[in-house]
Amino acid sequence: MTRGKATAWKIAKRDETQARRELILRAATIRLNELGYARTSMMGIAADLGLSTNALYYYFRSKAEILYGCFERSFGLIERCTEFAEHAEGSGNHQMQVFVLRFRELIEAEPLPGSWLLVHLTRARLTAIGKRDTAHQARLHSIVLRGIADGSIRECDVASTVGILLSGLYTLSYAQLSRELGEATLRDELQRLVAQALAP
Amino acid sequence: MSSPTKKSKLKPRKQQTVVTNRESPWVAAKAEQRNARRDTILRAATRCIHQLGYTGASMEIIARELGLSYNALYHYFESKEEILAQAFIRTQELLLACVERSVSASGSGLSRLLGFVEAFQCLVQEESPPAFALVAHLPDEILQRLLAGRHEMLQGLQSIVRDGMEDGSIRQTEPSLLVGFVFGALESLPYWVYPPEVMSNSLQSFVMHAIAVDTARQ
Repeated sequence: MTRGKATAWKIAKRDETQARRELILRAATIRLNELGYARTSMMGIAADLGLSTNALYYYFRSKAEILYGCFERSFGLIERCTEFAEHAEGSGNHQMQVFVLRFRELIEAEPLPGSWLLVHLTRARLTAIGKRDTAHQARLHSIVLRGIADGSIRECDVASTVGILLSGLYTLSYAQLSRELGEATLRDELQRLVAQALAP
Repeated sequence: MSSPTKKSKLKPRKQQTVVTNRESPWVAAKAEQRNARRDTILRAATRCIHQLGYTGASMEIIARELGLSYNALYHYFESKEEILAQAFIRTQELLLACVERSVSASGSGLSRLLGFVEAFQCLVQEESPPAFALVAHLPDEILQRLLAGRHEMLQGLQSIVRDGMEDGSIRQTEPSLLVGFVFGALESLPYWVYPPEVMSNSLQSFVMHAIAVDTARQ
């Protein structure tokens, strides 16, 4: 009896399901951003993917489940940017620049759920998301602290400075700016803005 | 027993045409009072909605919070939707006034922009504006109106940045990106839990460093 044991077959199956869930969440994020929570239906999400509604329910029990999944997915992606920055070489200031550029690439490549959708989460899940956000910000704090130690970042209140940086990044309307300035200029300017805002 | 004779004893009512004098100070005072009361309601309602969520904060709870009767509340606002929409519109009007003041203020571009940042912070502390996430509950036409207003504000701020670049107080940069970033950071101010003095310091020095002329480069 190998039940419960992770055989190669089981692992492959689990990964496959995970990949499909990812696909669903990606499509659902686009739809939710466009139509809002109330006007997004399980049927609509399924239709986007060419799935039957029943098949969709196999992966997610409800729309609420999908919305929560969308936020978890987006946090996973943003955390990957931070991880990349943590492994980058150079000063703390440079690592923050890496984070910002990586974040910009992420926004270009992947749809992320808008913060206005947060109001549709239950309180318990909102708390869970909040905890994850705090943990993520703490990682950025330690990068900034390293920067202050190595002299590449000015003395500042770390928590609020990271808060300002993140909310500035989240709310920037990239699509419009990219049209106006061109992608290369946008990136250069963004990098310079962050570098200079943190520099001593 | 209401006989016609009894009625005839009453003096015939004089036909009177009442023309309200719209310019009368009394009418103006009434209108002002009504607006002030509406503002009070908006502030209290926003607080309620923040605490209890949009669905949780019923008109009844909002009325109780204010010490008003349910019916009296409806005298001022037709519905909760209207309260939320008006709360957003009012905040934006106040902000727009801030932008206009900064645009027409004297001084370098840098000092005017920093002045705006400070004014924004004061406004957030005094008025407790509705959290951005609540826009999910707004109807489309209000959303469009708010977006148009936001666009106008960004244009105003960009003109300040351009002035600053010209007078040499702000480094050469892309005004749209700079303004988008700073304004975005400001918009999420109501969420932040840091003490106001700390926040104010961080924000001022962040903007200062981000836009000031980079002396090392020149």
